[in-house]
Amino acid sequence: MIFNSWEFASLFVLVFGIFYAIAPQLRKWVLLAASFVFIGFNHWGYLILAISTAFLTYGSGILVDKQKEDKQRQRVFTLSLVAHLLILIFFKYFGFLEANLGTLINVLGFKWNPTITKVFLPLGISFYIFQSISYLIEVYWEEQEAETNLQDFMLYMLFFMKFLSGPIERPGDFLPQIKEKKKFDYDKVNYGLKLIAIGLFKKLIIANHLAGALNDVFASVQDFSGAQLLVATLIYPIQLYADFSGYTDIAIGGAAVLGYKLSPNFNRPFIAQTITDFWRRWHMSLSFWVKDYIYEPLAFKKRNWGIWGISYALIITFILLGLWHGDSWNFIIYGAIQGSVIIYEISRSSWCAKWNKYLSGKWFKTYSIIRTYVIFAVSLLFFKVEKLTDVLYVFRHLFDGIRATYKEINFGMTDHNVIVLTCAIVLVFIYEYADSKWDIWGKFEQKPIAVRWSVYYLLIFIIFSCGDFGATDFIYLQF
Amino acid sequence: MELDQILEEVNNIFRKVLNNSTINLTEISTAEDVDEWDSLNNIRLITEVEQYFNVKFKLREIMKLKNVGELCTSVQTKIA
Amino acid sequence: MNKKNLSIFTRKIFIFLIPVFLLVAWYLNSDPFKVLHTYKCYENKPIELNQGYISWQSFLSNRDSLKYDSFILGNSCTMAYPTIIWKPFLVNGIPIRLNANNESLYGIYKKIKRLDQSGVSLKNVLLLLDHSTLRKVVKNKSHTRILHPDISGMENTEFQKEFITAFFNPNFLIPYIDFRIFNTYRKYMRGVVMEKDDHRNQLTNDIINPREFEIKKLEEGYWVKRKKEFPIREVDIDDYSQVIFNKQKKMLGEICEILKKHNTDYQIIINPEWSQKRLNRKDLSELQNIFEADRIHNFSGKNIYTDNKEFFYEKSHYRPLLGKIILQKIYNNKCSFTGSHNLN
Repeated sequence: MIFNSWEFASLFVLVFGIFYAIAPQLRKWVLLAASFVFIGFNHWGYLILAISTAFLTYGSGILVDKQKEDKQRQRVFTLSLVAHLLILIFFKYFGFLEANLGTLINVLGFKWNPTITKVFLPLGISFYIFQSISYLIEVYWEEQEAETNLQDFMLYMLFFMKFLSGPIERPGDFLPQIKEKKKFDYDKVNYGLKLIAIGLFKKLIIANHLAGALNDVFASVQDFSGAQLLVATLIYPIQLYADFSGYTDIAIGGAAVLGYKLSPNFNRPFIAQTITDFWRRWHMSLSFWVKDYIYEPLAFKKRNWGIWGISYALIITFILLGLWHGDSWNFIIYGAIQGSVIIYEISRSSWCAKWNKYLSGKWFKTYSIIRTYVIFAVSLLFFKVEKLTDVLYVFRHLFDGIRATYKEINFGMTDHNVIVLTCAIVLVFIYEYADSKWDIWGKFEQKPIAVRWSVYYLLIFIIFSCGDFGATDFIYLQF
Repeated sequence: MELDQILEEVNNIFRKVLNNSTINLTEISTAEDVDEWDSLNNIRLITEVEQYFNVKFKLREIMKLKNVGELCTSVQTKIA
Repeated sequence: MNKKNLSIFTRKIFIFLIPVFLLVAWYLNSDPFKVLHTYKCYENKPIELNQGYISWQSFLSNRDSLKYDSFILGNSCTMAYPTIIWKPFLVNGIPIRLNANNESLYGIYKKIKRLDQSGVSLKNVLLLLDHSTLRKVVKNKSHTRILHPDISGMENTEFQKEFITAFFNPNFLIPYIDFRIFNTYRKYMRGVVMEKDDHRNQLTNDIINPREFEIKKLEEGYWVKRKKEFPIREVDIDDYSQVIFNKQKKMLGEICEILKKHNTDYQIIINPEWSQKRLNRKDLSELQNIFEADRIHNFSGKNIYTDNKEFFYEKSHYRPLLGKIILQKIYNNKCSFTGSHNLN
């Protein structure tokens, strides 16, 4: 099921209605039932796998905690970790591994015909396996007690608002919430609904419209001019942001309506002045996951290598982050670029501070923001474009047509749509800026009801009139 | 070694590694109180502390430390 | 406190949603797109309906009594071929026009397949193709172009969803409410509300473009009045880019198989266009590879027909006056085979 669909809207309204009307002790059952429906809606296989994985994690956690000796603990933990990784590898990377193994074997002179192209990719698997692993690690590190209540644990793993594309929740953040008694909180519900509306705005008005134009470009780059490729490359981060942060807003908003607080995934990433800072603001639940569970252990282990140790840890971490997104060399390169730039930024950080002193702060800040954005935009070519040869084609032709016409670079979008899009993007960025500086929602709540309701109706009106409802999936659904 | 001494030496290490002479840590200081103390510099800081006091930490020990004070206490225990 | 909050919230939400409930009730009651129920009579009044849907619905409603066996397929350019003009060229044919807004090759393909499946005899087929039709091979779910569920096999709920979503779109809702209250056509309503009656024939799906009456009244003055609707042509007019690729070839191939199976007397017309842009040569030869070359009649590009303004209503549609001439050319030349009408 996807968020921007009538089925989900109906499910959500139903759940909301029942959730607060029913006796408190039955509320978790309602959420579990809704989660089962949500997950199994497109294919019962997804549900079976998710439940099985959750059972495995639940059992593993209890087993690890049961061990008295350190060595036993480590053994059980390692086995469980490997089991979870095997599940992920099997469903996600089997085709990739087989193909690459086949190529290697062929290079060595033997014959090998890869048979499996792809096992079916269960929805949400990358997200919930990572959530499982984080839970196991926290239990192993004794930061978290193994959860013994099966119902609570199932809900922790399968809660439908975060199941598809995160945020990846830590046990310490989410499990306690599950155990709390949920009371109807008017402010939370109010806030949640507004956040859902904003998410829909971002997805339907910005992301879907841009997708209409840009998906074609990246699907067949050779059919487009250099200027078009350049503009598409520079605009794609905005499409990706609108899509994924829109999804996250709906997830967080929906959870808030039901009284749950999910972790943030974005914090105004485009004001980052370095790629290092960027990854503290972009897909935060994932980047913090790899930081806590891959980077820190690795960097700590190699701390005697000095800067080389940190670099080693960074490259491995970001390659794995790239690989998490998909089974292709492109994603590995995407990750490697992030890691390399961060290593570079660390090594010149002192040099950079000097520059900052010489140049007026504002100019350097602006340059840094643009530089970071462009680096990210270019790295996204590996993320978005399927074939490596196509990525190289784009690089070769990026600066072909400096003197392009407006008609060429608006990708056939009507002027009306271009204006709507531009206004929408500017509006979102202004809103995020205002939201970070002032308590705009608090102030808004104090306005008279006529003003508030007019804004709500206007928002709904805009979403329905400008929104592109062509059912395009959220981009991160594929991971 | 006394805790105050350890705290002072730790302060020196932080000032050196983070290149900031104005750093003044107390027992309750955490990473949030110091601008440059992020996950990247964390490793450097820990390594310097280890080398200076000639002690070795385990990852789990580091994770459990809540503030500078606990770091100093841990160092003190290891020296003894 | 908790219960009080919940009841306040519920009440507020209910009041907030009253306009929505009213609109939904109004939609269900008035069925503006005429898709909730089956009707005896489908008129594009006041709303422009999904042409593909109502033409197919006419076919379904009358096929038992009328036994249709001759079909005109294509986009709105099919208005140039009213069945009463086509019929004399047929041998005892019972024709119906199965057009659609912005028809796609995908739509035509699905329709022919469905006709074949439903046991209809395809005695005569008039297929109108052009660059824009051939290009489109993906299904379109927007409410003006979505296929009739009988053709696509789509679930009825999914089908209805498109229409109720379209109803709530202010781009539709505002003109609709405006017209229902004031009963006056305003320019901004174009595309939603029909300005003038198109005299739709319930059995054959023929329409009369209201501009025919305007032309009758104004005669040559019509083209003076509508000068702006005929853009100035470029000096060097490029051909259209190639659009027939693997997907198109596959669909066209299957269409041809079905027509062969029924021994259909089919004629393919490449629409004449005011822009005088010609169908790509590669596309034309591809069509000639798949279908019998003498059944393909290419009227695109620069020729005596596209030179003449008076054959066109505006840049996108031509008149039955030209349609009749084209049919005469096609059917009278059938006996003396001269190959495709390459008038370029």
